[in-house]
Amino acid sequence: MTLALIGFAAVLLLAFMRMPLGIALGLVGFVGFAELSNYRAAMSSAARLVIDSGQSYGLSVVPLFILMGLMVERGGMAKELYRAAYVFLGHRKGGLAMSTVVACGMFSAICGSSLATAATMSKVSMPEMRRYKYDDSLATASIAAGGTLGILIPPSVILVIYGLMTETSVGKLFIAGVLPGLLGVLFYLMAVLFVVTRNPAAGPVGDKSSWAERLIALRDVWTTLGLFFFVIGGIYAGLFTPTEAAGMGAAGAMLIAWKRGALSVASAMEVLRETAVTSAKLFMVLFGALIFSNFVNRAGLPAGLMDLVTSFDVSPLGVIFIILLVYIALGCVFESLSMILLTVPIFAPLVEGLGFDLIWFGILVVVVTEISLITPPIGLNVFVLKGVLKDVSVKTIFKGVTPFWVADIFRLILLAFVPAIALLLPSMMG
Amino acid sequence: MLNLITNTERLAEAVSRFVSNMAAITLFLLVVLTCVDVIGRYFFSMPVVGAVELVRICMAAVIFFSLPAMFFRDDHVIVDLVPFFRGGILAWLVNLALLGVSIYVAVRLGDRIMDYAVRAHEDGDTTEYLSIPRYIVVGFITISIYAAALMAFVRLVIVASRPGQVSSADLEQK
Repeated sequence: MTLALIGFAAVLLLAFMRMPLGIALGLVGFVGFAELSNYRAAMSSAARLVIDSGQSYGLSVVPLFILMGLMVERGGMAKELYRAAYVFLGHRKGGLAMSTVVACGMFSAICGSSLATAATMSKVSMPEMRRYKYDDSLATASIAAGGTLGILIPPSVILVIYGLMTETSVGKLFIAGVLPGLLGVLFYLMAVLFVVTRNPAAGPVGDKSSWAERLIALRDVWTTLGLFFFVIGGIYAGLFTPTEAAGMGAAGAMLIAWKRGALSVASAMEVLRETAVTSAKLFMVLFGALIFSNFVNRAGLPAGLMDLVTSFDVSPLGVIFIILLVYIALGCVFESLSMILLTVPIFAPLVEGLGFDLIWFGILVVVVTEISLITPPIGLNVFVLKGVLKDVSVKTIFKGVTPFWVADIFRLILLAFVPAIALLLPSMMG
Repeated sequence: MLNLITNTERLAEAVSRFVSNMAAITLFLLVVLTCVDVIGRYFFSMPVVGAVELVRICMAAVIFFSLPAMFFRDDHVIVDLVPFFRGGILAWLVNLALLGVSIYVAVRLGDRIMDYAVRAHEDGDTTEYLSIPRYIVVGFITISIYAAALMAFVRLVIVASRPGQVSSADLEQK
């Protein structure tokens, strides 16, 4: 166990020195494995991992869902989604911020990335909120927090990675993310309500829309929402494997973008190239994480942790809360993917050993990762917004995000105490 | 000397663009393949034979075609938290050292994967349904990793020729 902890420290040191994370993980994993066995065995194990995971059928879902998300972003569907939410909620106090949260939830249903959701929605909803003189802190916070839903509401690239690292069903993980994702939307709406109740000037009311306008807005989003129900419904009903669903979803998003005139051959090639490079970057880290995971398992870290936990006489749920606290602390300095790849190999065997469901734990991990996206000082979603909205200070965004962060903590506690919220739908899949 | 570096950089850029395009085309084929398989299965009772094997091969092509381009641009996931390592002579030296380590790791890994490719060839190992020789895919992975090491070497030479500057792609991260 000591060797594994030294390895963990070495990874952190190399990562802070700006060594590519995948190489840092792989190198330390390899050296550690060689120390425990021999050089040849370590190299053979690393090479086999690269060969096998580089042509894994299960992992093929990653580039396909990334492609679907990028096509949706390119297709300009975010505007219609925002409009559809606005015609129903815009006339309420804080209604535009609420519309932003709901639109983020809908956009997350077709895009698996939180950063992309925040970046896209900021371009669509921020000008409207500025027009109605919304407080910058509420406006930006609703986008930053709403954007985090991207990695929980399926499809989610992070859930795919988690599923493959823990050998849990990606389809079940996707379905398990639906109710906690909807709960996230609800809690964020309550956070907006809380802000405008305390300070009504922060979120003035917008124009009321007629039922005719509402129907038109709904008509405009049916293809986009249809794509979500087709993809996720197909997985739920067992019609497609996640890879097939992702392929069909990517093709559907491509067709929608093309039909809207947002996609030429050149721009399609650009999106395809971007997807391939993004996927390769992800895989590079994944290869490293798998090699590192092999090493920590061989070094007996999960078993050592289990012994440590039992010696402290903490209840199993107490252990979960300690793990979640570790995640919140790590979330202050690490971005989502790195955090998951570094920690899941260590915590998942421990959680499984304590008798918990790994699908439920996966949802907890993703929710706590969502929290890291709006936690200072790194909070990547906050910085994405800062990148788009140059005139708003980071401090303003973090200040506005606080009620949403608290809402997230409540949601996390609720999910930890009531596993059925995450496990109800997967249990009906059979 | 500077001319040589500039020309090499241009050549590497052209190769990088070519492999990126190949990855993009393969990805498009992967989308088409999954759609044809699903539509064929449900509407014509004719799924694509060996679709899983083809998906796996396409996957490897998408990832390993992109790898050399990624190494050339030094476009990795990095943890950019310590400003000390972002600029200046020490950061430059660390960057050179890390690039050197990356090249070494890639070459050693490539060597071992080549052993597997050679063994797959000698054993006549093929895929289950389509009988595609496995050494082709494993050999391709080997070439990609060697190409990535070569691209990282080009990046190292470029960085070495500009003392005090860390690679530009690095600074765009996060």
